[in-house]
Amino acid sequence: MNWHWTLVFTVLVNLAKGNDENGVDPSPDTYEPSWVYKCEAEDGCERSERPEPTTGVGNSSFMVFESLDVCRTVCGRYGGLWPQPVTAVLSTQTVKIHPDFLRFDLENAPVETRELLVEMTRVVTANLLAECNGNVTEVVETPVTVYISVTSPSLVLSWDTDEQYYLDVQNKVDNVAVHVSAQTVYGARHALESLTQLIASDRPDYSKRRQCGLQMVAGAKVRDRPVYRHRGLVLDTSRNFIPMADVRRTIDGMAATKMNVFHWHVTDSQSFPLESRSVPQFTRYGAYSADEIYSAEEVRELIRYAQIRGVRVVMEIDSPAHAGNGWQWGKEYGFGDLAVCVNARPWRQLCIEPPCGQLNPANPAMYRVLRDLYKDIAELLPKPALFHMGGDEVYLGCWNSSKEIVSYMKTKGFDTDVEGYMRLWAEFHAKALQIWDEENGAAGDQRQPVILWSSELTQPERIQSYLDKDRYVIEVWEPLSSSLLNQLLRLGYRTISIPKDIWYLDHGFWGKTKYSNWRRMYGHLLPRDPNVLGGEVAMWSEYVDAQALDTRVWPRAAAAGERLWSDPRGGFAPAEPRMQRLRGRLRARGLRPDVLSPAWCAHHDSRCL
Amino acid sequence: MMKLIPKRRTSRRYRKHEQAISSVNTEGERSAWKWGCDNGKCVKSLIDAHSREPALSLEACKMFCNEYGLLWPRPTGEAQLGNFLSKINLNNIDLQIPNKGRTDSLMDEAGQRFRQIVSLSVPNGLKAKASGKALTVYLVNENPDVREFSLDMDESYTLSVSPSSADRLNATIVASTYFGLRHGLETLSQLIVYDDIRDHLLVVRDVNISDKPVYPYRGILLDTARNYITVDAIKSTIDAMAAVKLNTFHWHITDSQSFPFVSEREPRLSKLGAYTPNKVYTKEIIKEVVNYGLVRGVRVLPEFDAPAHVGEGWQDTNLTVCFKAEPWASYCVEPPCGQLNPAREELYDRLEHIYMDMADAFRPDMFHMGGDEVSERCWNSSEEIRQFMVQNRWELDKASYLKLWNYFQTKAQDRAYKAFGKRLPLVLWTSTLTDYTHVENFLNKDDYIIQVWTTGSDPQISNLLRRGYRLIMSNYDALYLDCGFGAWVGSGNNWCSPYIGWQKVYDNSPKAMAGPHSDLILGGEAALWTEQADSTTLDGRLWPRAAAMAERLWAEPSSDWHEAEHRMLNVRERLVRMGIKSESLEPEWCYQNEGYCYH
Repeated sequence: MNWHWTLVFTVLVNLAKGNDENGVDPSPDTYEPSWVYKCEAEDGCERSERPEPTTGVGNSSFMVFESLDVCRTVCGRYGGLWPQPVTAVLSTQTVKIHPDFLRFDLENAPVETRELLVEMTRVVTANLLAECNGNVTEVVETPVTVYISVTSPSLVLSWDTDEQYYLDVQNKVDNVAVHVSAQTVYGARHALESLTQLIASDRPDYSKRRQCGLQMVAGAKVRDRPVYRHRGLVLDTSRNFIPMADVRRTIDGMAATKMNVFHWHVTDSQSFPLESRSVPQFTRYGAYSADEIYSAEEVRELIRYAQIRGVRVVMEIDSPAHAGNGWQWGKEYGFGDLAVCVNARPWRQLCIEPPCGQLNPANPAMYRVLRDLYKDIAELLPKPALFHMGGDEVYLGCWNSSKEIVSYMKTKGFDTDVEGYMRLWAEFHAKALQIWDEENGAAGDQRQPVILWSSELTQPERIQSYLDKDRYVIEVWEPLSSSLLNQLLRLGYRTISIPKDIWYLDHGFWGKTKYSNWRRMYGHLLPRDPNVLGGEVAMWSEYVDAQALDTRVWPRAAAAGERLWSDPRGGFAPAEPRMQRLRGRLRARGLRPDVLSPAWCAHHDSRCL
Repeated sequence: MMKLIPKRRTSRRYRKHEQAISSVNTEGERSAWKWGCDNGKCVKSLIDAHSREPALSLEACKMFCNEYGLLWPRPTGEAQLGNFLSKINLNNIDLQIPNKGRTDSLMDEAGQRFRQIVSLSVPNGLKAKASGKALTVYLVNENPDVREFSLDMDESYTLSVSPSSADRLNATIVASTYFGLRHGLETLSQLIVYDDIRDHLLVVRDVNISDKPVYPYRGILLDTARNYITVDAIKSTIDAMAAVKLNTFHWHITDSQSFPFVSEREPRLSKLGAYTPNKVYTKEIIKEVVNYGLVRGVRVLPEFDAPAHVGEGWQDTNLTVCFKAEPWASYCVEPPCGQLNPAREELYDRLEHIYMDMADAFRPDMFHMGGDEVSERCWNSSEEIRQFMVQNRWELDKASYLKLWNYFQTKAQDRAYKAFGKRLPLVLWTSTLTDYTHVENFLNKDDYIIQVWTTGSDPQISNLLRRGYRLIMSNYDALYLDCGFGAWVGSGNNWCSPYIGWQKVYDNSPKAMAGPHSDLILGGEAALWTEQADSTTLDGRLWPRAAAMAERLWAEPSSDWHEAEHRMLNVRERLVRMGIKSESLEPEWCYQNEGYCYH
């Protein structure tokens, strides 16, 4: 047991010693602490002078800590938890623990879930070690037992997965009992993540001491469940390739913030890094190099990696636009043009950005190749499979530049005007969906809805003629000022909200776009409508590769993470101390999150508002 | 391990074409693509097994196809690059140093750095074939005893590469100082590329380059007070600077938020003012950094910002006013506030102590005294200062506070000269004190260099130049690399938004801003203020944009960024290989398909 009052006591001893010293040796190893962190109900943790000996034990209105992280873990209503839970009652006392004496009891979890649960608990241990940089030197033998109780044997991760959990920490005389209870393994995982966040290293920030111990909140009751079921992050790995290790680290960040959908925009017109076993030409012609490919095996491992972290992988093969490199070999193989205007110049009239490329809907061979690709993907994705067909930024001028397509339109009786091309576009989606249904069915799945980006085709006056609301979920990326989201909701479509002027992480580095800081991202509210499944933030990679990925995404994505999980009423101000703690946590786990403010502000909550 | 394209398992309907794809593979299954130079651009095409023409790798093509090859910054004198690339053997590079002197140890380290950079041109996981020609590099330093930085040091060099026999190439670098010689080695390392089609190192043959910088001062400012920057991160910044021939690391080492500089004469400053006891820079650490910079031709220039931008660390001295004053916006530009109290005589003894410690640690040839953003309201909030003003028969108005500031600056200047033991060039930020209408009353143009941080179109620039002041350009609209992110106080984006793209950095020409007085422009400096950056995010903020500035300051080209784009994309890749986590500028597709990604 290590009550905060004992901390105060040691502080006083050190203070007395410090007073005798003048002309202190500047060598950091012998540095004596010159301040502590004070938790005050209103202002959070603030660096302050050591308290005077007279204001001491018993009558103090605040608590002091040597470690900022420990202060943050107990200070404030939600301590260091991110995202904010529905309710939390946290003790202000802490107990010292050690990962070696942490046990997980899975007796009350169905046999089917145990293998996955064991892997989930391994993540907990790894994350705890990370708090101490891999080595918890202060060994205490207090047993901590985590009793995990799960009701459902199902391992399905879908929009219908029940993610709620209860977490209860009780500090007994000589042991700590933690009770986790959840409907599903994924709820239990969230509880374990929250449990990890009730623990912080007590390494004093003023000391170079190598010792590091873990302090755990001595008593806690947390009840929690998400507001939105789809809490996603889009990662584009086509404009620039992102190596698997960096993708995994991104998923680590999502797990830390209870985000649950990794939307993988794996291909685009620039490159095709996804290996297809049936169609090796995709990567052969479309990957930037032999080293910039995701093998099917790596994808399978990633899906498992994500599942252990409560994250569902949604694969997007953007079509019919945003497809070019990787599709340019048709002629050579006697298939004709699988895609048209690939790498065409000048590009302005034919696509949104170079290089251009759109699938050729007049060519039956294109659908055959697409089927092979879908078959490979259906075999990879866990069931129920969630697949994203893209569907954004189709340039009618590109199709119109192809004689083959224009003459196909004639045979179909489509006019070569805007509405005619809409029919062609809709026909593409209908055929693609049918192929997907067949291939996904063959892989053992029911019919599943697929996701499409909002586009000309999803405009309210058009969408009902072309896209069935039971089959398509629309991901609306229009700016905040657009009414499309509400109009689609009124028409009964399920939607995912991703307002580009707020939740696009690449904005602020090109054109007239503006950077959104975390406070702005946090302030965005989604409609509370059962048909709003949730939202996503997007990392388009024209200006990002593995080098800058972390700093662009984190910690800003976490702001959306909390918005989607808790949808809290308060503004960013009460969340800021927790956000600072989260940033430290992500760093401990090996991410490189961007800086929010001078470190001085992190030491003085509420002073930099 | 090199990752191969997995064995193909084609479905039946493709089988008859299988032969066609297999025949694409000339070298195992590694690279399907080659590049050819067409009209100044590298064009990507499939490797054709039946063709007798040798296939070029992407970098080899770029080396051919551009007037300046892959050199960054581009040379300012003769730049003759031959039309042949010779295979060289990484294990058979020999450095010859005929002239010995006080720079011998520096030469050794420069040689090691050269070898290391050359080995980094081999992509991770690959291994260059140990065959090809031997390379002998002659390093001729005409003044091997010169190892001191100064504003008029000679950084010029000449470099030639030519075959000496059937299996040996000679490279010769001649320079009048170590600094020029070192630049020549950087240039030579940029003439070497990796051919990933044949797994060989290639060097350009038949080279004649003569080169020297246009501006003598080419810097990066790093603030290590708003957030602490680790020594490793500082060193890697210096490494990257050396690669693009920047020569000054301006160390904004303290500010009101923290005081990480360990002053042995005033130890309480860092004891109270460092964020944590290990977030400090001791004399030993600084000496190590200074020496690291010297080896890389980078001067380490200390700044002690005063009289504003002080606060943490001074708590028990009673020498500051309005420290942590609230509401902060009334007394300073960002929290926490704090300014030195110029009325206290004791202050100047303390300053001299700090300067002496800086002299010991940095041994600088120039010194930056800060001097920005002084708030008269802060001073005016102190009864003691108001009394001091009255005693001096000064009013309590703006003009008088300038006198007070000048009083401070004059005394600080004397102490600085005393502490450094010489009248070294001093630098100050532009401020109300440096306003051209009255600067001559306060600051002598022979003593002070003014660092401009207002916009590039500020009339202060031409007016200061007309009065003969020497300037360093850090105009924030092009060279503040912290701009464009979210605000950290309040909402919206930070004050100098938007983000500055590399193109704007590249096109920011001191010559154009200076008009007829460009001889008074010493150069430029990109600034990274670290309210919103620390060691984890530093690289991406600085690089590769600081490299864009590096070419501008080295070469002051008459052309704009368009001409430089292909080389710029390559220098970014080179920085990444050095372990610098640089921002990406464009999709990799654009790097592989030159000339397609135009606006």
